[in-house]
Amino acid sequence: MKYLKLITDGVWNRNPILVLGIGMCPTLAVSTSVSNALWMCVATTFVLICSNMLVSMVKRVVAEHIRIPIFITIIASFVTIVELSLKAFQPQVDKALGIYIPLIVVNCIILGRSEEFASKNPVVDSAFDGLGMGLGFGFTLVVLAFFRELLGSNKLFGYTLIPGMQPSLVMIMAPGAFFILGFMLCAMNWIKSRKKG
Amino acid sequence: MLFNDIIKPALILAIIGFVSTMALSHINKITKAKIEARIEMGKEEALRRVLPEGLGYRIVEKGKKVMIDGKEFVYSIAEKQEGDKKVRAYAFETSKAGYSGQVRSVVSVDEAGKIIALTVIQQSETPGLGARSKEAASNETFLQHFRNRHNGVPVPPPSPPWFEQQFSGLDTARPIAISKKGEWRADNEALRQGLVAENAVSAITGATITTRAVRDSVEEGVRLLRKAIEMETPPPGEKKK
Repeated sequence: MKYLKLITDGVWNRNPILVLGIGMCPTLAVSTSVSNALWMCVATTFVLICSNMLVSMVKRVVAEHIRIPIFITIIASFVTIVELSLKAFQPQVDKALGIYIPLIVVNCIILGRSEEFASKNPVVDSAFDGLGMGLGFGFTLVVLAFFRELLGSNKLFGYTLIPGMQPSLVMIMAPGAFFILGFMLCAMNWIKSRKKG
Repeated sequence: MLFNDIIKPALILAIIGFVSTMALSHINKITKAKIEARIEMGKEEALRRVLPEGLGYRIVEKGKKVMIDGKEFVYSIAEKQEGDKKVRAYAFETSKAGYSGQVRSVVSVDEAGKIIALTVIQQSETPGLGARSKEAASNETFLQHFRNRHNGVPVPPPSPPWFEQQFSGLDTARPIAISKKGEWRADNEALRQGLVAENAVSAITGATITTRAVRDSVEEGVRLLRKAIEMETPPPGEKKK
């Protein structure tokens, strides 16, 4: 029950993008197509779970003033593992996501969760927090990417939807991401307020 | 005091650094061969794509390296028999800075300087904008995709990216223009005619910088290729073929 709550917290109550408002850079950059968003979700969730677990394991021996370099070393190691594995086994994905895979290191969701949660909680809880946050990030990314790909390039999973229609370019650019993000926030808050009332 | 504040944290940092380096070097060992093989395969594949077998060219010299203006230039020579004389084609690798990082492509040109084909082999441009230089337009719509699979029609082979395709047939002796009158798609024959007449490529919407990087890299590559050919041609006096 506790673990389920950690996951729903990550996806809904404390969604990293919509509620905590962190991790905007990768959100804007890779939400241009659904398949990119899905792969980003997989990569980030993996790094989040692993780094959260490891940070939680070493939290007792790490002194306060050296925790940031240690967390970053741990995160960077996992990101490099993901990057090398993608390059070796999924070169197409690596090509599509390019620089945004190594940039997971500086994704503030991951450092934020290490600092906020994993360094204060037990290992299993941290793993589930990582899973929840990763899914929350991925869920938001996929919904965002769905609308951006649909409106911005008239496509879904790389397949054209309406032949010959000129898509609206603004949706593929950063402003389009903010528009959709605004609508998503609006929808989320509406649902939340209805539940309360 | 000294131990707790300085030595212990330093030791912990060192241990974590050591463990992570160990883990990474191990992963690197597993993936290195695969990644190198992929890059090598990618190069072979790129060469095959720009000099397809259907054209009859046979590669006679692969990966020739020359130094021009302090830069290493790598090119391959292919030949084919046409009537009673041999016709040559060249393939070379070239790159220019795009919007984020180098955009590398492999280009093949014939003796007259006409581009046979071009393929972008490496780029890290913005997904959805410059990265669309590798976008292969599917000939099926989303609905058709499901309908065709449902009816048992096999998946059509992926066509080369439309951005790369439009370089084929352009003349490198003349400047290559960039047209912003909309993107060319494989089915738009009228636009294609206009582009070829203007010796132009249509820019990727929102990614003119990427388009320009590829165009400039082609022009620079051709310039270097000319120099390289000059360097290898026998000095005057000997008979040129």
